[in-house]
Amino acid sequence: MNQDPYKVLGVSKSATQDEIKNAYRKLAKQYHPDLNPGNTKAEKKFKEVSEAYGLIGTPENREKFDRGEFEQPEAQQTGKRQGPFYYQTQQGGGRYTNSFDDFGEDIFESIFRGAGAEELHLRGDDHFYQMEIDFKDAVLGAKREITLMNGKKLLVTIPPGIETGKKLRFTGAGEPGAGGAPAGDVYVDVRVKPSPIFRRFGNDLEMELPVSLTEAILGGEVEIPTVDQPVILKIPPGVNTGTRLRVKEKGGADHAHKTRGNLIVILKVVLPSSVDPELKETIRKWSQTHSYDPRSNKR
Amino acid sequence: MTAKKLYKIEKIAEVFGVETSIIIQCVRQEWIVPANKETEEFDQEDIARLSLICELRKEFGVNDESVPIILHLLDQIHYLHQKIRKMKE
Repeated sequence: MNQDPYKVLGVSKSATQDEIKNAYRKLAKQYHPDLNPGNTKAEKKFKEVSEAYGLIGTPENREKFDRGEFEQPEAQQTGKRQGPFYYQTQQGGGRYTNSFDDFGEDIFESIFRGAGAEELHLRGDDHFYQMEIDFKDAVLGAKREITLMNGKKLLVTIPPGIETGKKLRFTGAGEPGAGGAPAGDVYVDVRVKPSPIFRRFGNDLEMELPVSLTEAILGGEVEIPTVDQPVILKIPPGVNTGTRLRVKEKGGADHAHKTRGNLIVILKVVLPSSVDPELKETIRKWSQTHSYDPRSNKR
Repeated sequence: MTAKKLYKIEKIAEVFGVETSIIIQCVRQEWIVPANKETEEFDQEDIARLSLICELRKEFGVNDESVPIILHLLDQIHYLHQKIRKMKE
């Protein structure tokens, strides 16, 4: 044995023989393998404690040990153990353990069978997922298949108009219940990928469209993107920054009314990046006979 | 399955250094049930159980009232272990 028996028993070197006996008893009670069936750590500790007691349990042995002469622990065992521990005889299913089946079945049936036992009628756990949805799918709605943690595939119907933070719920797709109880649900926390072009306001979408000076004054046709295919937008002459043009039914789908909102195009008049002398001269001439005050409260 | 070896009460008393009267007391109180009730012969399980009972009383100061309580609890633990083992299969 490598350890100091005094340490193992938790007593001081000057402990009385009674103190040593009580310390041993206390630890033996705690770690006895029959009182901890199947616990190998307990059994190991019990053997250590028994060996320690063997070395200093009696005055004679203790004297020998303190003098530094002691025999190998095997020869010092005070345990007059004959044969196996009781728990070892029961490990393969002993007679005493098996006899429990006579009436034991009633006692433990509620734990193991759950038949009619309320305690084990447990609804399954809910599972939580997060899902990122494309802007287009969120606007128009879509059907997407996702694979859950348990391998199950779930067909998710994304309702049009869904926003970040909303949760989709799928009853019964979660953890199966115990004892016939219903399965838990799956909650999908939705995050909508923002679009660099469109903003959503209710069922309508809004976008900003830069237009040239020429287009704003003379009108024109511009191809603009939508959530589905691009369309040609007619720009009437005489528009200004902030003018809102409406493209019918290019907004978000309205699930309830089976209609679709509009795409609102907000114009932004953009001057050329560099003003050439010709333009400058034209404007100078024009402003001599025309003036207007952009800062008056025209609205 | 090999036939289990059975021992007579006197043999056990001799090997264990336990009085036969004590063994008989254990049987009467139903702390031990001999493998063969008619011939009052004991198997390895009985011996190990008897050994445990003696240890409980001598080493751990367990009184006669408490012995069957402890044995009953241990029996349940072993039964549960077995059930769990079977469930894992």
